[in-house]
Amino acid sequence: MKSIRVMCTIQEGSLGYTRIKQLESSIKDIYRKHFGSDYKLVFMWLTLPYGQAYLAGKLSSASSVQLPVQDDLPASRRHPFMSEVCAKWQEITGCTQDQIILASSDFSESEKFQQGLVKRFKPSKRKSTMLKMLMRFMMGRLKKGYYNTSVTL
Amino acid sequence: MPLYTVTTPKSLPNSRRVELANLIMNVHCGLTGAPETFVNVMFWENATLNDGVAMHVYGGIRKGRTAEMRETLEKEMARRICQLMILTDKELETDMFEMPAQWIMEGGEILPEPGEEHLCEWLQNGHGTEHNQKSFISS
Repeated sequence: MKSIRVMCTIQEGSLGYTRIKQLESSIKDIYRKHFGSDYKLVFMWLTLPYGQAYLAGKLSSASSVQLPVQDDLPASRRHPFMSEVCAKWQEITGCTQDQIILASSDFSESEKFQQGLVKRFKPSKRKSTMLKMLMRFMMGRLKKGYYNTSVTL
Repeated sequence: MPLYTVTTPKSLPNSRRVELANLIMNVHCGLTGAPETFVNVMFWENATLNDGVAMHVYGGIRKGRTAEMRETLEKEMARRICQLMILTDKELETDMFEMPAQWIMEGGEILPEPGEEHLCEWLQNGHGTEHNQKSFISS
């Protein structure tokens, strides 16, 4: 079974436990429906404190989700999946369609994107920073019931 | 998309974040012709960056532009950010990552390829103009 990391960036305080668990469950169902049961989705929720996200130069309340799919998946399979995820996100959260940004990249490209983010940290501190984030995600899970931490490191 | 992730060792005042978010939008849109409503900027703080680096900017952009355009975008972005934030070129690190537009959905629609925005009906009908933005409140 392939484990897939789903990074969800949301505004701090915008979604509570119930909605987050509904989103996790529904997206897992959609993923299984489209791509089978060989995948295990692991959701990581990154919260953005107020004032740290902008769209078109103004404060943004949009959520962004990185939900990778198998490499070279054709658009004819990728796009219906993406539409269903966005529609479900709106249904559960009550947000408008402009408030959800979904990136469904190939697995390999998604990994490269994440590696690019890690490279910004000082090489000697990369491991400890990633470990610190992982610990925070786990602490967040103990406190709130799902993996979460803030983008303020 | 684009999604620019700005990372700093310390917290920036709100006013600086707004200035920087607007500058990034203006440089990106001015050079590429992308709609302003596509430009997301996110701020990560309290990070340990490379020695001597005060700011890191990671731009996730749509694939499909020329290598020259990407180079110009990266250079001009760096130059203008250094100017605004009063940084030397060594104090700023930038990196860009290109992703096919077909992998991104915003406003419930797949993004158009760079340069094909004018052919995109949903975009012409006012994507992102109201619902997901709030007025900036100075603190």
